[in-house]
Amino acid sequence: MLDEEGLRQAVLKGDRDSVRTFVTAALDTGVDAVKILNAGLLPAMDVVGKRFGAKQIYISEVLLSARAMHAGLALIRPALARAGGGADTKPVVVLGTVKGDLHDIGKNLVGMMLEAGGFTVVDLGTNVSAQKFIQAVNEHGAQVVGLSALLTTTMREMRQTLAELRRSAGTVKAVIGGAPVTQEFADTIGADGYAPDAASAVARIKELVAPA
Amino acid sequence: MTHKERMLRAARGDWADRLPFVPRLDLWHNANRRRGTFPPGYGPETTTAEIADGLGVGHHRIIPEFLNVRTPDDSIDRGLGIFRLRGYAYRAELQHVDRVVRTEPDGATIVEYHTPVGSVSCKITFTEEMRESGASITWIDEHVIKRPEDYAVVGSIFRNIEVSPDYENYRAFQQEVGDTGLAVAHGVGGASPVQALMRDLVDGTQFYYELADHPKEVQQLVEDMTPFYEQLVRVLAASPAEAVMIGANYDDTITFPPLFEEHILPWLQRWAAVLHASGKLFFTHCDGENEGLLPLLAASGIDVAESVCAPPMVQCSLTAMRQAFGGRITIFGGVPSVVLLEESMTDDEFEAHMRGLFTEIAPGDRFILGVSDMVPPDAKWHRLVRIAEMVEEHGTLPLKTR
Ligand code: B12
Repeated sequence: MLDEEGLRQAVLKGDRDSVRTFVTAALDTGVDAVKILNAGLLPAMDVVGKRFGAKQIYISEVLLSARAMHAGLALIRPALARAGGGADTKPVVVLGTVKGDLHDIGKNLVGMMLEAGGFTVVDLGTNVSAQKFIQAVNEHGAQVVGLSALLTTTMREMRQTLAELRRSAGTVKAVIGGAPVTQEFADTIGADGYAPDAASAVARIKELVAPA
Repeated sequence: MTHKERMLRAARGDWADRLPFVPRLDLWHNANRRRGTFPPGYGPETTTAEIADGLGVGHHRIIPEFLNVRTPDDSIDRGLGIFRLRGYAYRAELQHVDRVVRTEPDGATIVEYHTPVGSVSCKITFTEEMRESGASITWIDEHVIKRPEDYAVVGSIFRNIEVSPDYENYRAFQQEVGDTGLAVAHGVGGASPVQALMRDLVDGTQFYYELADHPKEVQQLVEDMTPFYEQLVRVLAASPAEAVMIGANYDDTITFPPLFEEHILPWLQRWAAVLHASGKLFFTHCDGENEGLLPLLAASGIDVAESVCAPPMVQCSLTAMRQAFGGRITIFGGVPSVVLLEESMTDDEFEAHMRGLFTEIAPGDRFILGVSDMVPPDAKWHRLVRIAEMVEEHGTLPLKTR
């Protein structure tokens, strides 16, 4: 049996242990892993993202919820993989802060929310060169690359990185973000998407990977 | 009136003759010196003091030059948030700690601290890319606290730090600055132990898990660090400085209101009381998004909110901040760095932005005009010149409301 409401509340509270308990109980009683994901974990994180976007909750709550959601995800991952539908076919997003820039709190949050939103995230960390982005995109067959920059100096690096990605990483979609970045800038450098915060980043990237 | 007098008057809430303008030039200076791109008329050896003088503005000596070390010892304890730089009014010395320093093949510095209660280590880097992006401080790649056991070791290091006056060092700095600006005595970047934990001692994202997972360890660390803070503020309060800077990088997302209220505000209030009892002005570095923090900052007891950014770089308007501060706190900043960049706006838009700013801050009480966080390396020189001219032409206090 899956206590959907209990599981969602546990994720909302960032209570890892309870998430594990609910998920284990559900798995033990034969509940489908996909159902646990779609009826419990994902909707809860969706609420978290919206509340954060609306400034109703703070960064620490988002991070704790994301971690709790991950704890549940770890338990259902083997079953998801067996079911063939889940883990392996999730779209891959390569994420990183561009060269010269070491700010990572916002990028980490975007990564967490993307994972919570059903993506596989390859986080390359900070100070990432165009070369490393290209390599990771090709290696992981990523559909989307997310570039973060918090400095006006490194926004320029985004332009450079994007140009090189276009040359060497095929059809990957590029999404950019970070405090000084705007939709206008994204348009100027020819990025496929921009989002001002983590919740809208997930929404924008979902649009980009949706079959046209 | 000298630039220093103007700044002091503004910081104390008195009228100066005209609006002080004190742009932070160090990063712009470093980058343009390296590239050989100083404005016409300035030779390759030009100093920030000469640039400020040429512009007719105050010399910004508020934030230490963290990369400008006399010996490696000046910044070797950066992983603990501790510096011993030129101009500091205090020295913090570790006691009963065996420090082992290694350089990795990639240039990173590993610092190990061996204490009677255990060992911790950290990794500090500074790369060419960072230099180019205008970073003014080294980066902590691995923090001293990585496991719950590390708290006690770091706590013991702090318990055994001895803070002593280094007033000669500060006086030399004060003399060098003279009347060109205000020589602010720098304390530490973390206004409180928890903010130090967040900034320096653990990874910035991990920090939020630490608060939730290890509240006892965090509480013990706070207690272990308190004597260090108390010594530090006492030494700064007794120093020859007029103004002291403690605390940096608040932001309503990362130091969100309840966190700020619980873990930062009471400490700011404490330091304000100690510093004010000795007649010192209290500066703190407010370079992030201040919107959600306004009532808390207003209650903090600080005299000057330094490096205040403005739209379009943040949401918080100068008007909202002035209202919240109710004439009790001086705003230092106001020009968002992006307006100096050619690619952000046209010259006409820049002129309009600056005119709007002058109107917005009128009558100009409790205001020191500055560029937040700093003049960027690619700032259009002419725009800096223009701001200086505008201050000269329209900056007589009180400013006209128009
Ligand atoms: C915390 C902070 C730091 C910390 C970083 C800690 C860390 N591990 O990241 C420290 C103190 C180390 C630091 C250092 C520096 N900083 Co700083 N820092 C900040 C501060 C106060 C908050 C940034 C933050 O984490 N915000 C919270 C997160 C959650 O928000 P966010 O990053 O914007 O992310 C959200 C969105 O932008 C978006 N997003 C982010 N990434 C992505 C990616 C994608 C793909 C998408 C779709 C969306 C997206 O979603 C996120 C979540 O909602 C800002 C102030 C500000 N107004 O931004 C200055 C700021 C960014 N820093 C600044 C500066 C100048 C520096 C330094 C150069 C200072 C110096 N003199 O050395 C160094 C640079 C080091 C380097 N080379 O990178 C300036 C940049 C100015 C400019 N525009 O160029 C700012 C704006 C301060 C200011 N007022 O001037 N900084």
